[in-house]
Amino acid sequence: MSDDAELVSRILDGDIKAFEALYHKYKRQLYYTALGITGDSGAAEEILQDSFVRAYAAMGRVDASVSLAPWLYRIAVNLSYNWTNRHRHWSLDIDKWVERLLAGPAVSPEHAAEGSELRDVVQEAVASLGFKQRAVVILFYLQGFSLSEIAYILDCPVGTVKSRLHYACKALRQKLSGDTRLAGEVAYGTSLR
Amino acid sequence: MVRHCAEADNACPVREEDDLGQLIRWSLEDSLDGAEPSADAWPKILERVNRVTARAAPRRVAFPLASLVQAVVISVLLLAFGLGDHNVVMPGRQYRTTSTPTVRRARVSEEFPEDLLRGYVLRQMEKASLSRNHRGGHIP
Repeated sequence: MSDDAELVSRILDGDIKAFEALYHKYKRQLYYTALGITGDSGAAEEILQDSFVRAYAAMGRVDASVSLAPWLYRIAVNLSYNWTNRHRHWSLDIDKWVERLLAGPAVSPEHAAEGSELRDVVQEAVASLGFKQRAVVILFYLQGFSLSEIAYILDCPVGTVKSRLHYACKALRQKLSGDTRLAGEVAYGTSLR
Repeated sequence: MVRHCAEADNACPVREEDDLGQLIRWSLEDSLDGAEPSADAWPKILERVNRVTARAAPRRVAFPLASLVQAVVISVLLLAFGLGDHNVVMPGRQYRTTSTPTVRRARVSEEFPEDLLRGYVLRQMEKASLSRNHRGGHIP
């Protein structure tokens, strides 16, 4: 019996410690996914809580013979989708915007050397994608899921996942190539083809 | 993050060693590095789960009183009207009658021919008196 199957069995017997163990096993991954998709730490935490409450309520219907991860991600991504729909836009934290406005347009070499500017540019580019493409990018690059696993999580065919990833990468490449702030990226040896 | 891309999915649209892929992965991991859900997330989840469980529990143990009352009422009605000897809905076997088709004789069938005959006779007498008056005039 796998770890997850044993946990599910114990949870169904009313063992709340087993549920806590499940939470600690997956909390960081689900939180990262929700944060990557929504870009809002408060929303990510809310989604994390909702995901586990829903998972607990539906525990009796889950197939415990396989890993619980894709199923939990599916719940979290669906909740992230709902949140995104409600807010209609993905925004960086307000303090980041304030910091950026105060810093002004000029980028110091030290700042660029730290790579934070490059990171922010990539983040903004990812954030500018639509929900479907963004979710695929997060699940593929950040969580390292296979295409078939992403297809299960997003409830769509594998071909659709491939297509979304292809167009997401194409859009990101265009955005990053056209961003003037990435003048220093050559120093990292990163060529955006 | 450990990549667990299945062998069957090797036909990834973006190659594993693609610069863009590496850049995206590095950027996302770097931005989320150190991010953690707050410590009070688990107590909140536990509280909500307990609330859900507490709400659901009475539902599981509650006696289905409404269904029982319905069943009793229906049973009483069936006993009263279906099995009782002295009821108006279904009389006992000894009180039941079977209907057979009968030919009913109407009263008009007896009287009508008599009237008809009388009318016929009167009509004939009237015709006869008329023909006597018209033919050749009155003979005193």
